[in-house]
Amino acid sequence: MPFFNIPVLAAAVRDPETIPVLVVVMIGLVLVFAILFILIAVIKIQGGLFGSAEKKKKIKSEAKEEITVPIQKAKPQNVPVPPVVEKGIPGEVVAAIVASIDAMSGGAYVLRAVGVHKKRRGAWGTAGVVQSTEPF
Amino acid sequence: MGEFVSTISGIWRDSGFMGLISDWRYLVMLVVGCVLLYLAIVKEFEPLLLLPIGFGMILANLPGGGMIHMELFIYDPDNFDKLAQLGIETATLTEASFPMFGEVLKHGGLADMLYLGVKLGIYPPLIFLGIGTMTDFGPLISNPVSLIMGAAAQLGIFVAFLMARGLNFSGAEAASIGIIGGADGPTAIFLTSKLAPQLLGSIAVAAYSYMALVPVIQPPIMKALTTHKERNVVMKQLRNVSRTEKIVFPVICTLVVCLILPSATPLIGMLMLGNLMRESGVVERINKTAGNELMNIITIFLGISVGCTTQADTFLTMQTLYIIVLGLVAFAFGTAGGVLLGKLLYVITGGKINPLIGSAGVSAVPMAARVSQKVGQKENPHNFLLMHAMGPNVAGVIGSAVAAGILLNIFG
Repeated sequence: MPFFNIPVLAAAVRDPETIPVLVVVMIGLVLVFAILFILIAVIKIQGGLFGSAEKKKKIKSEAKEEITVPIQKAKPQNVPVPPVVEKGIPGEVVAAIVASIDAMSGGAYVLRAVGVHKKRRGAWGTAGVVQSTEPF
Repeated sequence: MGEFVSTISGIWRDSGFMGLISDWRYLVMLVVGCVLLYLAIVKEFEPLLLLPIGFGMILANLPGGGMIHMELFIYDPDNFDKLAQLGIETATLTEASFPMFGEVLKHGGLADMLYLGVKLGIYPPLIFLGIGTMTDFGPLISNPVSLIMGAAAQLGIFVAFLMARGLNFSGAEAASIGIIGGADGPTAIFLTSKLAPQLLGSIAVAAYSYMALVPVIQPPIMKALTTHKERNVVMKQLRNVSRTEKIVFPVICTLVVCLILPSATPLIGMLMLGNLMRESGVVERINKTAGNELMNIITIFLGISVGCTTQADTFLTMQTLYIIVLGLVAFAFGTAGGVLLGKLLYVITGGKINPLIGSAGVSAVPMAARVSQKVGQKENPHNFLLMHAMGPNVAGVIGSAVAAGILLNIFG
């Protein structure tokens, strides 16, 4: 299709079925990449303007009620030891906890064990506390 | 006695059993609906959508049930007799007369009313609102390169589009089929309801089924396209992202994307509104409602109404078979596109980026990111790619919405 033939282009715009398939694919891919590249530039500018975040940030975790065993600073080890995980805790939850610790500490800490904190309010009790304190 | 027998035989004649006997396709659709229920309940394949879709399919294919009247929404001269039965004058009807919203309000049933939310493009943006409240753009903001991987993973959309055109689907239909490759249910439903509503049922079933099969489809492709050395790359920790950045990002993203591509506004705008509600921290009540109660209500309405569109005469066709095959192609090429770009970035950055996270650009959140984590962990048990993979994963949500906006702009 001649790109500078305005009547042909106008006809194609009125009827998208006549646009060559490869043209649609090219337009689509180029536009997706272009828009996301623009977003990358915007994010980098935004990051530079607002600066990096505070170093220690409280992580919002889905497993807020689980309390991990206190972590100790890692001693130099030749062979990394996997953490001791209480039965019933899915591997993905452990992966998320370890990834969070790793991200926050930069690899300075190693998770030794994961367990569920036994002494806590039941679900109903927790819901009652949340409902009562939520307005505040 | 004669009246008794004739009344009973009249009831039998009008029963659904006679409908099943007269048209075997209804029976097939009932079986397909039961299969979807099995997949949802027993195999737990995307149960939140597949269960209502499967049951909606059963309801729509009970002969004489009259759950939904697709003839009021889609122009098809073959259905004019059904319109005449409803008392609608058909002599002056043209394609521009459809959808017949006034007649839907007069003659429609429950599923017709629920389907209005799909047809008017209301449900998918509201689901995106809920998704936005559950999405953390932190990994994306801390590593903006993830956006490129999210873009590359949209390759599947356009490959499927190309192949669908080769199979003589119209441009609008091919675009609707291609968007399955975005691995985003609401986006697929949004685009299909506008471009090719007659394919909505098939595309929705294909999209949600393949989204549930991501852990099966992706790993072989990821392993085939990467080397052991590449899969073993341990990525540097992500920088911390400030609350200010997380609050500003949804606003800026909306302004940038929607000014360039206004047709993407309903999806991108609602996604970013939901995210802003989450990150601002000052509207916790409506944030919780959007992410829980509202999402659940809309999911029920969407699932039932989409399921009800899967009637035998529109679902049991060669087109559905092509859609199922093309959906798989779209997912495969989307995964490959993301991984290949990941490999390119691995080379460019001197081995700092693990190509496996590229596959997470297929926007099945968070399933695709989990798959990257699992495949990476098989190579190296102490390699934690989950947070790194979340960047391309949420970038894929933005990318698929942008791709949908582009296709809507061209074919809408």
